[in-house]
Amino acid sequence: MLWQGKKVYLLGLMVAALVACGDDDGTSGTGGGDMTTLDMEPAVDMDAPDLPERTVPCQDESISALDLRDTIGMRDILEEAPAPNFEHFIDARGGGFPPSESYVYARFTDEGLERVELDDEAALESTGWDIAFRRFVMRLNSGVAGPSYVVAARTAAETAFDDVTAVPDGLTFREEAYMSDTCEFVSDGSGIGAPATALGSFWTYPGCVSMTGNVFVVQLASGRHLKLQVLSYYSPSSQAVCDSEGRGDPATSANVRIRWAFLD
Amino acid sequence: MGRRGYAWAVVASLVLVASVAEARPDDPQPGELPPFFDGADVVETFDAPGGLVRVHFTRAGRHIVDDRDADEDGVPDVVELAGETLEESWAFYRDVLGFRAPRSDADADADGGDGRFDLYLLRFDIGANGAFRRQGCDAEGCFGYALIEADFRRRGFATVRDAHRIVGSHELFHAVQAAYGGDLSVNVSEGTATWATERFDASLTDFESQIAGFMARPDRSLDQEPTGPVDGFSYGTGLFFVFLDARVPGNDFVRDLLLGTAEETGWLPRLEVLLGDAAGVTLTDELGVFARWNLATGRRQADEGYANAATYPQLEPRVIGLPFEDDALRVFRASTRYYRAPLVAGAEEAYRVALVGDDETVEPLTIIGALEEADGELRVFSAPGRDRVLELRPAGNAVFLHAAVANGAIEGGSARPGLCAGTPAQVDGCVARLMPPGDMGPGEDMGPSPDMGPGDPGASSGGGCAAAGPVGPWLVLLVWLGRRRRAPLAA
Repeated sequence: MLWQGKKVYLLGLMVAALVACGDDDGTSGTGGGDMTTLDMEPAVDMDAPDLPERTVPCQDESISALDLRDTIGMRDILEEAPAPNFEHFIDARGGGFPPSESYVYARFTDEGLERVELDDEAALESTGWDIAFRRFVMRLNSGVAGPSYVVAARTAAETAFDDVTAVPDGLTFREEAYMSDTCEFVSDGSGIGAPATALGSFWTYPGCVSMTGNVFVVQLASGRHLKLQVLSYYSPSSQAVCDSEGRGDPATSANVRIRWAFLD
Repeated sequence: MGRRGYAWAVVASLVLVASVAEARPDDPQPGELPPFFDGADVVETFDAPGGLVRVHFTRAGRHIVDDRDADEDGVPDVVELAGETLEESWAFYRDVLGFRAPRSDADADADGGDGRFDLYLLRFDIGANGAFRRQGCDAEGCFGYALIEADFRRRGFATVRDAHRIVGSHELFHAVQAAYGGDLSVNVSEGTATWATERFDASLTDFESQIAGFMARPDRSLDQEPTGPVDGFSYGTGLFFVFLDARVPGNDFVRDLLLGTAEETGWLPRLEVLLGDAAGVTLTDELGVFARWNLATGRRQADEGYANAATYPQLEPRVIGLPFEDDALRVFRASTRYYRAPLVAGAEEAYRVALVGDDETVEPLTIIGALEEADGELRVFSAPGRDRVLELRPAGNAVFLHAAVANGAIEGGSARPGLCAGTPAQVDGCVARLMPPGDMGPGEDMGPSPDMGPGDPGASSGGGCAAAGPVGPWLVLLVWLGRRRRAPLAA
């Protein structure tokens, strides 16, 4: 059954690529190690017909390992800067630590980052969301996280957000693969056992959640792309202390700020 | 969760990162995790009188200790307290509980190196109070050192002495664990350290504080490790080891678990073997009892349970209304789902809780129900999951109905039974709705089942009826369902 999900997904991507590109050099699966990576043409049109339905593998294990909840928290997403370079605040506290609420689910739209009211278990069966936030974990709706096809790639180190004006060549897009093919939890190597998510390299942990400044390109299920950077996990002033001195401020943690902009 | 629970959560996560560190807090190297002494700090040492512990501290700078010295011996009182407390807990773990002593670092190339256990007094950020860091291992085990908050005043502890007894004995037990080598699961590591501190000094309130982390999440598997920083649940699993002490007095389960860390098997399967050998019971059954005991804490009191149950945090089940119906409850292995519904006192003669599922699903489960009076008195009923129904009678003046499902499986994924609760008539209807249509056909074998003989009433406490009371014709159908699904196995 788990294999079925994976196979359907890969097939789906290939179908989409063929429809969009009309040739056979568009998309290929390149699973490697514990991480499944997908080399994709950036311009794949995934709006094109009928992305196949897929069942998310490893649901039971994910619910347990990620402490997924069936309680929706009334958490805010606030726009702090408008298009084209959106900035959003996300209340990702999840009810505290350890969290007692589901992730905050959202989708990227021309009007901004829109909250989607879902609990974690429902989200495993919903294509209506693109990204989920809780504490220091951000998940995309793909792979083991959800039935959609939202994938991400990290741009080269030291890439400036403003310098990304189109999808860079040579990116490797990743679906969510923080559970292995055998449904074992895959941690990110941060040392604190966090899930190895596609966006997980937005932080490191030198004693607090420090920002790397990495810029990601996210490809939505529609095939549209956006660039995304996580600005802070703590309040901006606390984040500055964390980034420079390695000291965190639990009182302001999980107050996440991101900036993002559509690229096409 | 208490403040201290969060504190250790953060610090314990650092332990994982620092386990291979070569440097120490008085000789920080690039990448060293905080806290560590600043370059200008003058770091002094104090050797505790038992010859087991050396305390490293400074009298100035960011990591200054409280320098009061009542006995005017030139050593700050808090430094002496820290060292002597570690030596006291060392002796208790070794001489009373029979654990190995922490491993000596006498053979280490640098740092410490005199064989004494090194304790560094440092100022932690808010939210952390102590840490143990492994530094090296050989075939026999691992050694390391501890860091403890330099000034516990205004850190939320009743007294500075209490703080040292709690944090010091906790971190020293991590050193004991390290002496056995192997990679201990986080839950066992923190849970048994919490248990050890309670054994060391039961007058401390730390245990009662820490187990709140477990009581808040009884639906999480006992062996589900945290993803991300260690959270209160891991510390709170100490409750399970206290439970085992109460059920099997004089056991050596914790020590045997430490001895078995090098084995591939998980700690629950290993505990299953230990329980069988020591007491002839199964972990599956004991997890059902554990679930019952955990319901009877705080102001809720039952005939069976923890000796100090009234001082434990009260479990707060999910509030539901009756009738209640869930077509696919998710109950992870070694966990319990709890529900509570308000009742109108005296309105009904009896209530009923039922599971819907095939034999394989319900076999490891325990159904638990309880009627709670206004004063918190509980009458607890339970039955094996294979009975599928639990009748709570007489309802009397109960003001709450509790329904719970414990999963005693020690491996594998979650169980997904249907759950019904309400009056007998309501539950009858619920069960009929949740049973697969294909299993409802008439004319099948409706005869009696060996599963439901009159001699199998299930366990109960507090008087009243237990499982398998008069439950109506649908129950027979359920029994038939179970038999029918066994047939392919026989074939």
